[in-house]
Amino acid sequence: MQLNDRFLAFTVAGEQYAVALTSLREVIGKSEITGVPFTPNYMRGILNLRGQVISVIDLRSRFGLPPADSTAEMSTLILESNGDLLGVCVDSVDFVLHLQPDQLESPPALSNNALSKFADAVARIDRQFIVVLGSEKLFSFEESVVTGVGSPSTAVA
Amino acid sequence: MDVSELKQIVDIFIHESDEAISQFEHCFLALEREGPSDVLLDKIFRTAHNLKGSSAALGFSEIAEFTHHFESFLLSLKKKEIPVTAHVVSLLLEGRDFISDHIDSLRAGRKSHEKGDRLVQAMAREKEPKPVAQAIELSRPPTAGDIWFVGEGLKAELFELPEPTAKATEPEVAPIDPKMLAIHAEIFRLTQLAAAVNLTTVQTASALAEIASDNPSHEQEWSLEGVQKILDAQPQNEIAEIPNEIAEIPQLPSEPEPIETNTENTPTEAIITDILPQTPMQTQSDESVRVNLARIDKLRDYVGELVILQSVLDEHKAVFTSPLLQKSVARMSKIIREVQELSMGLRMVKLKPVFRKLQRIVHDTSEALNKDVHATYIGEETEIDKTVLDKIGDPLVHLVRNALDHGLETIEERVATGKPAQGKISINAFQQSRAIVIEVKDDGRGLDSGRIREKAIERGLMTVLDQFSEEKIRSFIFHPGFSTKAVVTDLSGRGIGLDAVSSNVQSMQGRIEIESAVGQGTTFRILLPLTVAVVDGFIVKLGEERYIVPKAQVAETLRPQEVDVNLAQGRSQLLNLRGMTVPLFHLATLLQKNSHLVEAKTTFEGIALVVMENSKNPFAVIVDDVLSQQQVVIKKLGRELQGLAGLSGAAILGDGNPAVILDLAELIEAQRKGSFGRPSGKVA
Repeated sequence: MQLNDRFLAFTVAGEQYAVALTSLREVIGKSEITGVPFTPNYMRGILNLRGQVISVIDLRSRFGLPPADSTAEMSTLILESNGDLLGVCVDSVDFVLHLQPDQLESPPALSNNALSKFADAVARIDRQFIVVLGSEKLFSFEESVVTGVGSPSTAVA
Repeated sequence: MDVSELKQIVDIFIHESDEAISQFEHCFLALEREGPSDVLLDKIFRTAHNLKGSSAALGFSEIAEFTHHFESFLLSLKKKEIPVTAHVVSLLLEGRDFISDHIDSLRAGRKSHEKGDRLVQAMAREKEPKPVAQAIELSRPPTAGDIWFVGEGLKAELFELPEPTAKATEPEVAPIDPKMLAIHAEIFRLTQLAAAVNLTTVQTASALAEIASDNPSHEQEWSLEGVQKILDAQPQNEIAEIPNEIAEIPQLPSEPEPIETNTENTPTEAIITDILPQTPMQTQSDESVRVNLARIDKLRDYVGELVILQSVLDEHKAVFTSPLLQKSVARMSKIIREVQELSMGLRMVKLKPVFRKLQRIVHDTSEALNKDVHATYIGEETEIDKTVLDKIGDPLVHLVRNALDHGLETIEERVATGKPAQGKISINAFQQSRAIVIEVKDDGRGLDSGRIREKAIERGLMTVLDQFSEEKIRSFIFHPGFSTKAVVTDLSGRGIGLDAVSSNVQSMQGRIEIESAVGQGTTFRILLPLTVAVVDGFIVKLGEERYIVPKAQVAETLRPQEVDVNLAQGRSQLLNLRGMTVPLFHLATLLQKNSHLVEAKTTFEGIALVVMENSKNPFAVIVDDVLSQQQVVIKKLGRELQGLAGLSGAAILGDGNPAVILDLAELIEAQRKGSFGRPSGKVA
């Protein structure tokens, strides 16, 4: 079995998603995150990963969904792309999937615009769809997340 | 050998070549500045030789072939067949550039096939005009039995004077054929070598000299190869047997052997290799290991974590009942602190590479501008953070060019004002308490603050009524678009302006000072923090959040009293600071914490941080509390968070959680621009 056939399945807002194991550095439990001013609300902030400061995004808000109450299952996936690391908050981590290339279909136009921006493929498993997210796509931000002073998008509760 | 191994070898080659290239440049410029010396030429020759060897071994034939020619050229210099002129130094520098271009291609993963024929030919041309005949002076025509030495000042001296003969005292009438002289010169060279090897060879050489001098008409039969043949006829072991004396000859000439030659088998070569480690040039280079910066940073990260864990352990060591355990924790703390200090020092590197680059810039620029410049460089051993080193090059190059172009007058102007024709520029680096200072000093025309003032008024940067200090007026030249052309000189500028220099230095948390006197010169002084990796900071509290404010930005902290605070137009707050009125901002407002809206009022819970910002536009910022003051290790924010105005990085605090490092002046600037026209304290 090759590593690039395997995917980590996780849940965000009741839906199942997956990312390739090759782009996954590690999974950490809920950890303290420090907010950063002037960033859009999907940017949760920064955390300390053994001495390295890593930005963490919240997938719910990234998909345009309302934030959820904190639960014990919440985890942070640490993804790696071209040497950069990014933390991604998910509701729960579920299992490791083994998917053959022929099980992956190119993603249909998804109703959720925000989501389709990040989808690489769709896998069908027992009537259930799992959206495979493209790791690099999660790393790409609209230019940068800088909203600038005076811009209205900063809503820190 | 697999690909990765090969790549590693190529990487090492590139690294070595980089060193060789910078060595070349340094030596070539020294050659021009100080004139040729055996030590210097030996060093250059050796560097070229090593480069030839390693490039040939790796199959970079273009580099190998070129360095072979380069080496021959160097050998001619070493043998003083070609005098070291400014033109020769330029050729050498071009040669260095050629090699450097090749290495750059390799670094980019390409292989350049440029052969440098033009340069090779240019170097060959230098050799053409009978330099040998001019280079070596003979006190008299050689005769049989002579042993000649080429000594100081290219004068050939007799090693052993035979009985004076009538022939020797006879004035020489017939002109000496240059070709013959070349052969003689070669023989002298061999004699010198031979004298150290053994007498048999000396005799052979003097026999050669005899034949050569006695048969001037047969010179056609003579060639260096012929001489070589006679020498080759000597038993080889005689040359190989006595290597010890050779080491004592200060200058050991060695013909560049063809690239294909297996150098290890030539006895002379083996001897040279043996001598190398004993020569002073070699022992000077300190023992070091090349380490990737990313690995050092990683090490620092882990050490930082270790320190945090250690402090947790320290806090809780009371629960350990065992005295041994307590003692161990205490000892471990000590060791970890030392490891931390060591790991911090790992980022420090010498300024040398930047200085070498500057020497080249001075050489090229003064030549291009046709100015006679004497340059001095002090402090290349000064150590500086690697990140700063990488960034300081461009600003310094700019300042140096600026000094040469705009600062120094032309030769005619200098003479007309009674100054020496030769301009002076000096570049000095030194450490001053917790800062690194780099000065670029010229003895040129100086800054005319009167004209800068006019220009500043014209551009609306100040009014006629403003009474600014000289320093403040001078600092206008760092203003974007402030044309130095109209202010300082009529010469055109070169690319980026001084504003780029200034912002570049500021991005390294440094600053620039200018000292200048009209007609006497200008000094640009760059002050940089010792390291950009660590910052002394105040940990401030705002609600439940913590932020770090670099201590250097804060002039003082105080708890404002109600009487000290005034409201201007009912909303802006002003703080009365010993008679000086400074605007007062609340950090929550600056960070757009909507939940934390602060009304303009005159009573506060909190502490004001007073920022003087080089005493130009002072202001104060209110925070809820100042928790502590500590050194923190600066961590870069991820790419996605870079470029946020007012946030300069992050650091991990004692409890292991990160906090953002603020740049208060930048926050204020962003606030001024962003919330223009809006009531302060309420950002939509």
